[in-house]
Amino acid sequence: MCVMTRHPSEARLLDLADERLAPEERERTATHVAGCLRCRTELDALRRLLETMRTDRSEDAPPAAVAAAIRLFRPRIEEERPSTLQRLIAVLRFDSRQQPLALGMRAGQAAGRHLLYSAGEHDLDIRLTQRAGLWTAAGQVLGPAGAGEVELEGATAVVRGAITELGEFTLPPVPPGTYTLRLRLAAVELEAADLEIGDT
Amino acid sequence: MDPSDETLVLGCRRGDAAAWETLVHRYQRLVYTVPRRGGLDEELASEVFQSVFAKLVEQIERIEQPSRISAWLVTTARRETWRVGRRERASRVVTPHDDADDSGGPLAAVADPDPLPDEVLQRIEAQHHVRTGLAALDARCRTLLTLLFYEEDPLPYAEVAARLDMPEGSIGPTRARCLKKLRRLLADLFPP
Repeated sequence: MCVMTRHPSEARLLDLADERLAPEERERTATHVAGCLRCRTELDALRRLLETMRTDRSEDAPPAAVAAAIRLFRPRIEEERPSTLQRLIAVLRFDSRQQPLALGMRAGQAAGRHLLYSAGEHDLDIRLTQRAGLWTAAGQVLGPAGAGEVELEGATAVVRGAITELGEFTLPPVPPGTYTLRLRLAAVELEAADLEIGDT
Repeated sequence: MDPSDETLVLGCRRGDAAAWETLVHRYQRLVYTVPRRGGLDEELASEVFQSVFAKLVEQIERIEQPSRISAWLVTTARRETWRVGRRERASRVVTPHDDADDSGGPLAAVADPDPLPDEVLQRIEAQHHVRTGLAALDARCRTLLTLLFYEEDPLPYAEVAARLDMPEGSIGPTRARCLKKLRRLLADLFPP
């Protein structure tokens, strides 16, 4: 059928799809297209594209919804990377060794020591006791966090223990030395550095 | 060239928050339009929107064809639209009403028509594709095609010519050239 007339140009086909041809020209082009599969396929594709654009009533999501969707990703990353946990340095508030000595006791002879730290919303109560040259640290963390684990790391020894739901812990005995105490709780890690244990 | 969907999904799997953000921006309009076309108001559509992206975060490791993410999003958005719509209709029926002439009646919850038949979803997805192609066009073509084909009340050529500072006579040929570019882009971006 294409023998009858020449193929209309692409521009002409677009004008037909876009309904921009004068009646006479429209009729001539339409007659050709009716009998020409190639032109009809092209015309259909153009009509579909124009219709797709003209009927587009899509809407942008509200900016607050988009921002909230973006935030959905973050908690997951934090779970996977404990290094992004909030880490707090515990500040020493009280040390029984630095208090005025009572009843003529000498500091070096004290078999027990009491320390109080604070870190953010948490308070840390630590008692050190000595037996046979080794020191045992036990204590309690007070604050919003529940169970977790505790670690006491020194130059020669590292010991670990569990923190109960009540925040209590007891660590295995360690030799005298300078230690770092770390408490890993659900959302926060507390650290008390330069903790001198024993006669140092 | 913008990163492919596959690149972005793989980025998310590595924990790349920027890849996630790009993915949300790329698909926010598509995901929000599904519940809106399904008849939900802005608040409920936002709820669907959140739950679709929450599911995407959850399942990002398990999506088998990252390149087909738009189909996954449309299907999930349709399911969530249906779920939220049904819940809303059910709660309306349960709500004690003061007078007897409520329009829906208890059967409204039972009938549960699908507000989003396949052809509507296919059209929404096709519109998303064309917009993606449009975004990749040069600014001049993009503006021209937007003024000509996306205005609710189509502008006369004279008006378009004035806005673009172009002679009116070149609007027709320029739009033909821009549409040709757009079709070529679409064939590249979304091969049939």
